[in-house]
Amino acid sequence: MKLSGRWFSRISIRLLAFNLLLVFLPVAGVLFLGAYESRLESAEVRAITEEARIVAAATDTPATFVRIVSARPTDVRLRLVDAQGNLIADSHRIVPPPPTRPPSGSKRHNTLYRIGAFLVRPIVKFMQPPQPPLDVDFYETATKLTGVEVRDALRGGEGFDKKITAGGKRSVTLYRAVPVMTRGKVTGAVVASRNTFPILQDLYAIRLGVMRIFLASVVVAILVSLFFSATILAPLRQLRVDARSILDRRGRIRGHFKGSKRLDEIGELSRALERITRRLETHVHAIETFTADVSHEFKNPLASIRTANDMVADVVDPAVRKRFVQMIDQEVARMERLLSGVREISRIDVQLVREERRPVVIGELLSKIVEGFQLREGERVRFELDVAGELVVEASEDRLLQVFENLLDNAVSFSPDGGVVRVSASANDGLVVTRVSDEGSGISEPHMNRIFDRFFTYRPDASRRSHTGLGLAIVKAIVQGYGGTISAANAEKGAMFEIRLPRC
Amino acid sequence: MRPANAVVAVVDDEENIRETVGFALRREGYPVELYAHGGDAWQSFRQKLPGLVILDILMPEMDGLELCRKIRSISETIPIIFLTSRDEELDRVLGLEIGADDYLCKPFSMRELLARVKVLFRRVALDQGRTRNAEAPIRFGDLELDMQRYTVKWKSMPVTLTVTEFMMLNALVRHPGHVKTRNQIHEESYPHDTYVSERTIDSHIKRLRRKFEEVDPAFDLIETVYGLGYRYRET
Repeated sequence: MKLSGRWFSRISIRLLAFNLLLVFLPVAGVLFLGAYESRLESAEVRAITEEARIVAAATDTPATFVRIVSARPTDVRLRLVDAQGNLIADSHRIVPPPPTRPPSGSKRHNTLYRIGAFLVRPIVKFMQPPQPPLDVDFYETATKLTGVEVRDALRGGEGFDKKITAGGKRSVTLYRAVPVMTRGKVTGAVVASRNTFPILQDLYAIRLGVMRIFLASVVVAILVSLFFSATILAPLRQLRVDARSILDRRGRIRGHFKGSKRLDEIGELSRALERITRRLETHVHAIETFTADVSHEFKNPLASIRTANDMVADVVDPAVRKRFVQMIDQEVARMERLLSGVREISRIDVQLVREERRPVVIGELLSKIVEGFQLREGERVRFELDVAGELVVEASEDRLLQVFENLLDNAVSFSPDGGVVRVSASANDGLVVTRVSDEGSGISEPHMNRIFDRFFTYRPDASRRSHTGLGLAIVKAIVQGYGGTISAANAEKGAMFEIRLPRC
Repeated sequence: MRPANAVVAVVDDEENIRETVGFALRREGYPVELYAHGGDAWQSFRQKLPGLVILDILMPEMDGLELCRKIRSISETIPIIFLTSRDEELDRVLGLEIGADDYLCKPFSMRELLARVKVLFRRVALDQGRTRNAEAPIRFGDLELDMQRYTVKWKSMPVTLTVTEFMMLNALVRHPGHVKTRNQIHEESYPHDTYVSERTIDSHIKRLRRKFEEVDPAFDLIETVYGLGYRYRET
C-alpha cells in the first residue's frame, strides 16, 4: 500500500472523517429543534384558542370586552370585531404591550449562526436567524378585519390562520377567531393573536449554543486526528521505511526490522516483525552460504575429474591412463558421497520437525552402538562405556543414532592402533551429558572453532577423500534441533566431544 | 624462451589435482615441485624460490592468499597463478595489493593452465631481456599493447591485466567501433575447450574497465551495446 502525502494519508483521512462524524451529532440536535419548534407552535395555538374562547364567552358588549381584557393581563393580543368585521376594540390599545425584545445577537453571533446554518441548509432551509417583526401585525393599521379566520368566525365557526409577519417569512403570527354569540346570533368575534418571534428567538439562542459546541468540536476533532496521525502514522511510516530498506536493489533480504521500544500495538508489531525478519535473515544467509559452500565443495572433485580427463585424452601410456581413470573414479565416488551428505544435512530440519519424539534411554542406545563399533574395529581400537544412572532424552532414536555414530566414527578414524575410545554419559543439572574421547592427535588450536563448520575437514590426505566434512556439522544440527549444545576440547590424550541434551 | 629458473611449484591440498597438474607440467618439460600445504611450500620457498607458483586459495593452515602475500614480501616479480573455486574470492585475489598475475576458476582446463604458464614465463623472459627480435608494442591511440609480454599501457601508464583480460581487450581493440558479442569475445580470449558463462564475460569486462579507470578515471572507451555485447570506441 502506498501511503501518500505528509499528513493526509488514507488513515488520517479516515480518522478525521470519523471524528467529524462524531461532532455532527450536535447538528442532529439542531434538526431535532425543528420538531420542537412545531410542537411549541401547536401549544401556542392551543393557548390563544383557549384565550379567545374564554374572552368570547364572557363578552356581550364592547364594554365587557374592555373590562375583561384589562383584567386579564396577557401577551395574547385580543381584538373585538362586529358582525361585519369592523374593529371595535384592541387589547394593545387598551393595555400597551411590552416593548418587543431587541433582536438578540451581535454580529459575531450572527456570523457563527450563518456558518452553522450554511452547513445544514441543504437539510433545513428554514434555519435562518429570526428577524424581529418589522410590522408586528397583519391587521396593525386595519379598521376592518377581513382575514379568513375572521370570516369563518362571523359565520359561526372558529377560524384559524397563520399569517407571515410583514417584513419577512422568518416569524409568523397565529390568529384564532371565535364568534361572540348573543342570543344565538353571531354579533361579532374575538380575534386572539400572538407572534411566534419570541419562540424563534429562544430557539435561535439554543441553536447558537449548539453551533458553538459544534465548531469547538470540529477544532478538537482536527487536533485529535493530527495527534493520531502523529502517534500512529509516524511509527507506521518508520515501519515502511524499514521494510523498504530490508530488500536490496535486487529484492533480496538484507537486514531486518529495527524493533521499536514503543509499548503500544505498533511497538509490538514492529518487534514481531523484527523477530520474523531476523529469522528470515539468518535463514536466507544460511541458504546462501550453504549454496556457496556446496558449489565450492563440488568444484574440487570436478576440477580433478576435468584435469584427469584432459590427461586421459592426451596420454598414450596405458599405465598412466589407468592411473587417471582411477582418479576420476575416486572423485566421482567422492561427489556421490558429498551429494548424499548434502541431502542428509538439508533434510535434518524437516526430519526433526516431522519425526515423533519418544523417550530414548541413552545407556541402552550407547551400549548398542559401542557393541557394533567394537565388532567392526576388532582389536584395533578398544571401547570403554560408562553410563551413570537412568538417563532419558526425548528424541527420535534414529537421529540420536546418527549423532553418536558420527562421533564414534570420528573418534575411531583419529585413533591410533590400540587406542581407546571412551564414551560416558551422566546427568548434570537437568541435562544429559555424553562425552566421546579418543587418543588421537587432538584438535589444533586454529581449527578448534571451525570443526563444526560444514565441509571443514582436517585429515591426512589418505583418509580425506572418504570424509565429506559434513559429519560434525550434521551432529551439531541435530543436537541444536533438540535444544542441546555440543562442544569440543582437547583431553589429556586426543580430542573430547561433549554433548548436552535436555533430560526428560 | 625458457627462463633460467623454470621450476613450477604447485600448492594445492587436493591430491588428485596436484598430481594431475604436476604430471601435465612435467610432460611440458617444466621441473615441478608439489606441496600439499601452504606452510610446507613457504618453508621450501624461503630456501629457494621457484620460477612460477600455482596456488590454490582455500587450504587449511596457511591459505593461498596468505602465502601469496608472503611470497610477494620476498619477490615482486615471480609469477603467481591462483586456482579458485569460489567466485567471491576473485575480487580479493585480483585486488592488486595481493599481486597475483592470473587466476583460473575450478574446474579449469589443463590446456588453459598450460597456456597461462607459458605466457607468464614468456613475460618473465622478455623482462629479463633474454629474447631478441621482440616486436614493438602495437598502438591504438593512447593504448599500447605489448603482444609478447601481454602488458598494456594507457597514455604511457602501465595497466596491470591478467592474461584473460588482456586477450579480451585485444579482441575488442583489434576492430575498434565494431560490436563484439560475448560469444566472440569468449572465442578470441579463451582456449576452445573452456566453458564460460556470459556472466563471466561481463564480470571480466567490468574488472577491465575498473583497472583502466584506476589509472585514468576518464577512461570510457569500452562500451556496452545492450542486447549485443561490447565495443571499443573508435577514437
